[in-house]
Amino acid sequence: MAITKETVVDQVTVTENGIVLYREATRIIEDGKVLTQTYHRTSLTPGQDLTGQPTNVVAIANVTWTPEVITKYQEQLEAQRP
Amino acid sequence: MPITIDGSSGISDLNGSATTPLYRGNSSNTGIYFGVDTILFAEGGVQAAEINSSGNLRLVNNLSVGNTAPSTSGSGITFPATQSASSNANTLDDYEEGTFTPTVAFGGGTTGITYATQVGYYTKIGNFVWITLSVTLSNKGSSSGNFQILGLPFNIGQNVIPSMRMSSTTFGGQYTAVSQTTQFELQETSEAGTLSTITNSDATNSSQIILTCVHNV
Repeated sequence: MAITKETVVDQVTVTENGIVLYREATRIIEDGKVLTQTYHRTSLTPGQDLTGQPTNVVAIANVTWTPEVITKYQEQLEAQRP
Repeated sequence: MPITIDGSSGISDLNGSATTPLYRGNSSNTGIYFGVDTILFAEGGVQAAEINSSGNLRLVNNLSVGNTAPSTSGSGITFPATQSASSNANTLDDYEEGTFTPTVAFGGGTTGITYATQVGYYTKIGNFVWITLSVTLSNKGSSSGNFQILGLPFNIGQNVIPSMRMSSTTFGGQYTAVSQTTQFELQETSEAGTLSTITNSDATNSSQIILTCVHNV
C-alpha cells in the first residue's frame, strides 16, 4: 500500500493573443489509484517574466511570444484603457 | 437445462435483495433486485442505485459524465478533467474548482515587488468563472505604470460583473477586467466622474487588494 504525491502540468492552453494558461494537478495516489486531485492554475501574458515557471511551459511561451505578439498584446491593453 | 421465457407469463413474486440480487452475474452479490415499484442495483451486497416509480434515479454515491472516473470521496457529479464543451444551451458541461496565485505588476514591470500574501480561489461552472483573491504587498517596488493584477486562472470574456473591495491603500477605485486577457487593471473615478488609471505612486508598500469577480470565458 504505497501512497505517493505528484504535481504535474496536466493542461496547457495558448490563446489567440498569446496568453499561456496552464493547470497543475496535485494528486495523492494509492497503489496507482488517484485518491484526491487538486488544481492550481496560472496564466502568463506575452512578455511576462518566466522565472520559476515549469520548463515545458517556458518552452511554449518562448515560441509563442514573438516580438509581434508582445507588441499586439500591449496594443490590446492600451486600447481598453481610459 | 435451459429455461425458456416466452413472454407470456414472465417470472413473478421474486424480488431478491442487495445481498442476493435476483439477476446477477458471476458475483453472487452484484446485480439487480426489486422493491415496491422500484428497481434496485446492488454492488458487493450493498445498494448502489435505484429507479423509483416516479422515474427518478437515485445514486448512493457519485455520478460521473464523459466516461471519466467518479470521485472516490464525497457525493456529487464528476466532470472530465478537460471540458467536453456542449453546444446545447441546457447542458451543464463543466465544473472545476482550484487555486491560483495573483501577482501585481505596474505597467507590466515587477521590479522589487514583494508580497505578504497572495491567495486566489476559483470555481468554474459551465462558461462562467467565480474568482476571489487577496494580495497584500510588502514592497511595491520601483516599476512604474498602471496597477495590474495578473495571473487570473481563465481568459476573461466580456460582460464582466465587477465587485471589488480594497483596503490599506491610498486609493479607492475599481478594477477593469481587460477583455480577452487574464488580467485586471485598477482605475478610479474622480468626484467629477473622470476615470483614470491607478499607478505605482497611488500604492503603498502595504497595499492590499481584496477582489471578487464573476466573468464569462
